[in-house]
Formats: sequence, C-alpha cells, structure tokens
Amino acid sequence: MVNIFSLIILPFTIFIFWSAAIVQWTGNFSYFTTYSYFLDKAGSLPRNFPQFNLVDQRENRVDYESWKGKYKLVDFMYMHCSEVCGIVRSRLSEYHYNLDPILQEKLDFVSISFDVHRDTPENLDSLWRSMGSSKSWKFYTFNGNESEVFAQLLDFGVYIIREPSGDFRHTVMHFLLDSENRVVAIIDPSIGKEKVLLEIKKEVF
Amino acid sequence: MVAFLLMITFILILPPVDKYLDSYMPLHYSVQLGGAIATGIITGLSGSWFKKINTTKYTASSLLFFIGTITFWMIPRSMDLAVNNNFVDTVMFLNLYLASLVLGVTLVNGAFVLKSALGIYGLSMLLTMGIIFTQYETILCAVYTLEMQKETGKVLLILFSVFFLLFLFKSSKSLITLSNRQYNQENNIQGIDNEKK
Repeated sequence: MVNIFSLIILPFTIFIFWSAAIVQWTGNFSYFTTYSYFLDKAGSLPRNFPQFNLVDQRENRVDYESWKGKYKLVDFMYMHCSEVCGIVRSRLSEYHYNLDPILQEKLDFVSISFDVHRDTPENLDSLWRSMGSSKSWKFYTFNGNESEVFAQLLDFGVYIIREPSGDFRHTVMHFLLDSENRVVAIIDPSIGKEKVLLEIKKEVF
Repeated sequence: MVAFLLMITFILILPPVDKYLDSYMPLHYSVQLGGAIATGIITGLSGSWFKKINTTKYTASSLLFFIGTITFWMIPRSMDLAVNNNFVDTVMFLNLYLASLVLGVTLVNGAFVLKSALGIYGLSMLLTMGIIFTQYETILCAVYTLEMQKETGKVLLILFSVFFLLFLFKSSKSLITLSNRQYNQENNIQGIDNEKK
C-alpha cells in the first residue's frame, strides 16, 4: 500500500499539479512573458484599433477617418529611450525608405509616443524631420494624463512601466492596421527584416 | 554545516539583500536563485539525519517536484511577478529551496546514474538559458533590460563551464571508484574459486 502511494500516486499527483499549473499560467502555452500575456488578453485578431486621444507633430488632433483606406504599421515608442526604440526606429526607417513602390502606395507608418511629459509635438516634429520628413510616416503623442494613457494602452495589450530613472519598460511590437483601422497582425520586430516584410505583405496583398 | 547553510539562506531572503539582488538580473539568477537551489541541495546532502531516511521510493516524486518547480519559476512571467511582489518572491524562494532540499535528501542514497542524469539536466538548463539570454534580441522579463538579460546569459554560460568541469571531474572520479570496486570484487571471487580448487 505504501509502495503504491510513494511510487505511483504521489509522483502522479505532483506531475498533474505542476502540469496544470504551467498550462494554466501560460494559457495553454500561449504566453510566457508579461508582454505576450497582455497582448493575448487584449483579444484575438482582427480587432478595432482604439480611438486614442492623439495629437500629431503639428498639434492637430488625430483624424481616424483619414487613416482609413491604407494599411498602417503602428509602433509605440518614446524619444528618450536608451535601449530598443532607437534600434527599432532605424529598422523602420530602412523598411520605409526601401519599400517596393506597390507596397509604398498601400502602407503608411505611424509612430506613437506614450511619453506625455517629454515628447511634445515640437520634439516629434524635430524627430520627423531627422527621419526624412516623409509624408507617409506620421508621429503622434498622447493627449492626456500618464496613468490614464498607460491604462488605455494596457487594455490594448501594450504593457508599460516607468523606471525610477525615468526610462520605460514597454512592449515592443509592430501593429499592422488594415484599411478599416482594424489590427490584423502583431509583428515582433526582432524576427528580422525579411520576416517582418513578409508578414506585412501577407496581410496587405 | 547545515546551520551555516541555513544562515546563508536566511540572509538571501532578508528584505534589503533580497531587494538588492532582485534589482540586477545577473545577481538575481546566479546568487539568489542559484543560492536557493545550491543551499537546498547541499543541506539535503549533508544533513546527517537525512541519511537515515529510506528515500529510494520517493526518488520519482522528488525529481518531479524539483523539475516542476524550476520549470514554473523560470517562466519569464513568473519571474516578473516575483520581482514585483514581495510575497510571491518569498514563495518562489522557499519553493525553490524546499524542492532542492527534498532533491538533496533523495540524492544522498541515490544511484550514480541518477546523480549523473540530474547533473546533465542541470548543465543543459544552464547552457540553454545562457544561449537564449545572450542571443535573443527581445526582452523576456519585463522587469529587466535587454543589456541585463545578455549579461545574465554570459554569467550563466560561465557557470555552465565551471560546473561542467566539476561534473566531469566528479563523474570521472566516481567512475574510477566504481570500476575499482568492481575489479576488486571480481578478483576476490576469483581468489575464493582458486582456493576451493
């Protein structure tokens, strides 16, 4: 009796317990990181892009109706980022200025800053100019209180936390919107240039 | 020895030390988590009263408990929760310590094959995590930076190299001891047979 317990029942129970815990915690192995957890929690694709309260580099309120008709590659960033944002931005620049003409006609780029205190429309305008002043690449910043903005972004699936140093830890993903402003793909920029472009073309064409 | 190890464990879990180790990923992985596992296993191996327990029938359970514990807490989301929440951090530390202690107790009477298999498992985990952390361009743990992640990878690869050499040395020594024992046993049997003739 003791042997059945120690050799079969106990190991089996422990195995079931940890398996169930890991399956539940990772959503059936769907998400292993905090970032992917919030992305998954935000809902399945396609889903509507929220009507965030944004202003562009000319301090004009965003007009989501004008976004319709073309695909949009959206990324969330902040200008004082000492880590990945700069790398992601230079890669986006590479994609943007080397797109084939057919894709160029169908796709715009949108960069949205969540650093409501430092990334003013003037600063974004300087950034836009330094990035080549492209008419098909717009920069926006949020109009609102930081905690409200972060809460809205978290609902959308973008996880952001502020560090004591003033830097942010945040989800780094490209959101591809279709011509109806629905999120149709979420692309990890670290997969490499070729794969990112392939993912975009898969949806656009 | 056990008292010394318990003291180290206690120090690692003290709030100011814990907070400092949590703030820097290489320290968190190598000192705090590594410390919990190491002190647990060594306490299990060295406690004299543990040697009196017949642990053979609990080998599978202790292995599963240890592997399940490590797997769960190494998930980046679990790590984030532990660093952000003091209670979860304490639970994680105690869980790792307890699982390692139970494993250590089982290893006391464990066969050479079992110890070798566990050694290989531990080394492969260190190597895999080291490679993933150094090569991956995406931040896995939301509470740490990409730079810290890569540094942690390098630390884990260094630890892998050190433990790999130790493992080779220990395994070779054990194999030599085993084969000497077997050789002596065979010789003794032959000696007895010759005497009978």
